[in-house]
Amino acid sequence: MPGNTELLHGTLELLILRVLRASALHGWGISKHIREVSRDMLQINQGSLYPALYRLEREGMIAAEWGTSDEGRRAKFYTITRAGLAQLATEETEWRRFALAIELVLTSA
Amino acid sequence: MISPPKPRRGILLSIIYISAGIRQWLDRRRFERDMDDEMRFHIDMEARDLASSGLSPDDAKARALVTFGGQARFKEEARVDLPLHWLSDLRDDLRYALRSMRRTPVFTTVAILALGIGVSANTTLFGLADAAAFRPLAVSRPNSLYAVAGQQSDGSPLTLSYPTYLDIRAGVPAFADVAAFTERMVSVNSDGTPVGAWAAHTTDNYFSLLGLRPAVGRLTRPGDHDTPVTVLSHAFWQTHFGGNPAIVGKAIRVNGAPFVVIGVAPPGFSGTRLFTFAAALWFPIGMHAQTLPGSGDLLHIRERARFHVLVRLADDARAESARHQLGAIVAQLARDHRGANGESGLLLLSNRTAINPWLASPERLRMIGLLSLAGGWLVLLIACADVANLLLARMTTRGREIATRLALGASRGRLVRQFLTESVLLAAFGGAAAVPIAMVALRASQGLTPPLDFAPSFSPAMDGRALAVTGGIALASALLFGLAPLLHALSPDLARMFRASDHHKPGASRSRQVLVVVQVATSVVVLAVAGLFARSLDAARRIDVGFETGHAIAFTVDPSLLVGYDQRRVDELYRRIDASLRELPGVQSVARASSIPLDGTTSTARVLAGEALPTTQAIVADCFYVSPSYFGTLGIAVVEGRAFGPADTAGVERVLVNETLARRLWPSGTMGGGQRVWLDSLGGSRVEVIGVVRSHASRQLGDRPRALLWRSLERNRLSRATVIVRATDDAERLIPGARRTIQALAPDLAIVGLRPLREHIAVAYSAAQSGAIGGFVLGIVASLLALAGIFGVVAYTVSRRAREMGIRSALGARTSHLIGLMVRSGLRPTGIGILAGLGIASAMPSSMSAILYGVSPRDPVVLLGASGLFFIVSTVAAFIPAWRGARVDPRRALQLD
Repeated sequence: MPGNTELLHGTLELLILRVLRASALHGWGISKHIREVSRDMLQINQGSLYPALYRLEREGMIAAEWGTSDEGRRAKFYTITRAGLAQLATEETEWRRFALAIELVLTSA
Repeated sequence: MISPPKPRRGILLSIIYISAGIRQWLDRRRFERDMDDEMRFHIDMEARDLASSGLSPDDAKARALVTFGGQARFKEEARVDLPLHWLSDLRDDLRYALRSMRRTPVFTTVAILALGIGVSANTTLFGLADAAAFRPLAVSRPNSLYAVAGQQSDGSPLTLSYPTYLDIRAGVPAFADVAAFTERMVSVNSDGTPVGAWAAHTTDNYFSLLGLRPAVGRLTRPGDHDTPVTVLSHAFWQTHFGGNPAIVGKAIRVNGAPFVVIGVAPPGFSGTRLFTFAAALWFPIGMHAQTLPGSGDLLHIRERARFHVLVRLADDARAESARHQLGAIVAQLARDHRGANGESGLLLLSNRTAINPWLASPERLRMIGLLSLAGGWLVLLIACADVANLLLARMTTRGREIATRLALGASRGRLVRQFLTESVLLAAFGGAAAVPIAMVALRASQGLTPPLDFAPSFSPAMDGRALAVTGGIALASALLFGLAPLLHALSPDLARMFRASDHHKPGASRSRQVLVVVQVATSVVVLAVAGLFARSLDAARRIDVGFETGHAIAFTVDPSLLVGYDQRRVDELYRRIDASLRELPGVQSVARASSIPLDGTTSTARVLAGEALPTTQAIVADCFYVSPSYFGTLGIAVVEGRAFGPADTAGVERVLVNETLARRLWPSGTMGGGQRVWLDSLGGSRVEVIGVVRSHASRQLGDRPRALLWRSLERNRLSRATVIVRATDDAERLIPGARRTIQALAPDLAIVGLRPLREHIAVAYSAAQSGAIGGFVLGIVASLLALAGIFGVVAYTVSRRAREMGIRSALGARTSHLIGLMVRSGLRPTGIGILAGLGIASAMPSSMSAILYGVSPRDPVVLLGASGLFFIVSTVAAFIPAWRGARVDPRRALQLD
């Protein structure tokens, strides 16, 4: 498996919001999507997604609804809310600034 | 500074968050189900995905489960985020704890019983100490209640005269109100049989100052100064009038005069002073001609200081300013009346609790209080050690369960909380069990008070305060006994410890042994103290009190309480009582005295030797007024001179002194025989010493002999007297005859305390006796709890080493050898404990000798006896499980595990 990267605390939520901005998805869908776009570089225990999902739901960043999956099974679908979009925007900006700062330090050293 | 961003949350979001949380918590069952469904869906999808990439269905499923991770942990994590989650956690913990308690009924019962005993010992001792010293009076705002007393030159307090009370009332603005009262027995007749009852005679503002409300009717109030009314105490109303409210408005006869009952005082109120009798009735002081007959003018003479003064400090005043204003009154008294009362100052004393300045020997009380509290704590410590021991033993058997929970993802914090919940629950049950035990013990402790003429004002009870203390102690004990298992739960290699087979856990078994050492040591100390008290009681019983206590009865009467009984009729009645009692079959002699030595009452006189007053230092002597036959009846030897005779009622007053007083009056050795001394009371008078009497105990057992003085009862014409009747053999048979005789002579005369003489002086033994009984009970309880601990350790060893024993037995070891092996495992900590206990007990403070008679606090017989006894019974306690263990069939033992 290519380079393993541990998730920084709190970044899982950011990723979830980012994935949900594109489309509504169920938990497994989100998990698979993150794995695919990160080319399996982000190695997380798949189950740890759920506490984060419930937290976001309680904070009103995402909304959940039970529906039917493509395979015809009952599944819980998550959509991003307006509050979630706003949160995503601020966090994205801050992350970029943080990443830039780290980058600057690393290249200047 | 830049840090990884954290989600920020506004107030609105917080509200959404909380309300969503509450909603989720409310339908948490659906939340659980949804979580299950969602996770199962995820794993199924993952497995399908993996299967489509070529894995077998089974492998795919297994792989999916692994990549998902511990479901239980994620669920737990999701739940922890729920607000109010701790509440459902607590409920789960409680349910779990209850279930595991039900699963081990023996453990649970033993633990609850041990805790119940340990906690109840403390509740009981607290109840006693609280009633004696700490409980605020049952009046409104006890904090601003004070007493004012005169101050003698030696600092001891004095009662005050009515005029002085009026001065204080008028002259101290810092006092919102001032009341006064005096106490004395009255004869109450409501149904034909007169009873003696303790009564308080009060100023009309007494109840309003205290802020009391009546239980029935009304209380005396300003304006009731000289109306013939009375207020009953709740207890007296219950015992003598069956709690019937119809008594209000009816008249009862008090000392032969009618008084209307206007109401009943609130329950629990029996006056404001400890160590006196509980007041049964209250009367307006203005009626003292009827209620205190023969007392003369109480209200106008400054020399007659009989009043206790009670004050209510004004809301905006401070005790300091009140003391200052009292000082001005003292100065004025000294100027105008030259200290007619004999006081050199006025004391302002807090009357928040019933403990009052007239208390004897506070050091003694403090010592007794400290010892009791220490005893209670020791017993609780032993009980906690027992429970900790049991918990540790259970921990090892619960190892697998705990390991499983850890493996399933339970956090360490969660486990700790679980243990705590179990401990607290156990303690709660223990505390609940303690309440009835303490109630019984408190009631029994009242039986320890010696027989008294009236009920004492001391009333320990299982009230709210005692309940609160019980709860607190139970909780504290939970922390104490829950500590050991908790430490094990927190130890870093917990999982490994529990996963390993149960055979060798040096940690747990070492702490169990340490606990037994502590238990044994404490028990030996408690047993030693109990032994000291037992020896002390024995010694007290054998102390020669100096007079004959067997084969006699005594009772107290006061004919002057009867309406129409002047001095002449009183004298006449006594003559007839003497004569009639002498005629009873079995009566040897009859005598009268103002009081009996050792019965708890004393009066004193100041005596001066020499020709002029006052040339030498006055000697304070205990003073008794006695009839001529007194010395013969009590078997007190007159060693020089003679006793009183019929001629001693007139002329120069004649007195007798004891050897101690004689030695102090005439150190040169010329004793008694017609010498004159000064008696210093109200100006002083010269009296002649006609005899010297052998010294005997007068106030307390084992006292150094005090100076004693006897004056003639008949000459000084005291109307209240204790009559002593000596029988030729069994005195108790005389009691009914004596009662009939008195009732025939004076139908309205109340007879107080008619019982054997020995019981009258039991007051003097009561400290030694209460100590012996209390110490004995504590000692037994402590030892039983410690023995349970030893039994437990050996039983545990036996069960742990069953396989080893089986092998040894199969290899031919003798049973006796095996028993010895296992008994030794219990006796090692016992031996260490006994040695430690001996060490502590032999360091007992020598101040303890203040409450012991004729025995040193480090009495070797007691110390060795206590440890020897303990060693024997603990060997038995260790032997029983060892013997049972060794008899197990080796084949069965080997199959175990």
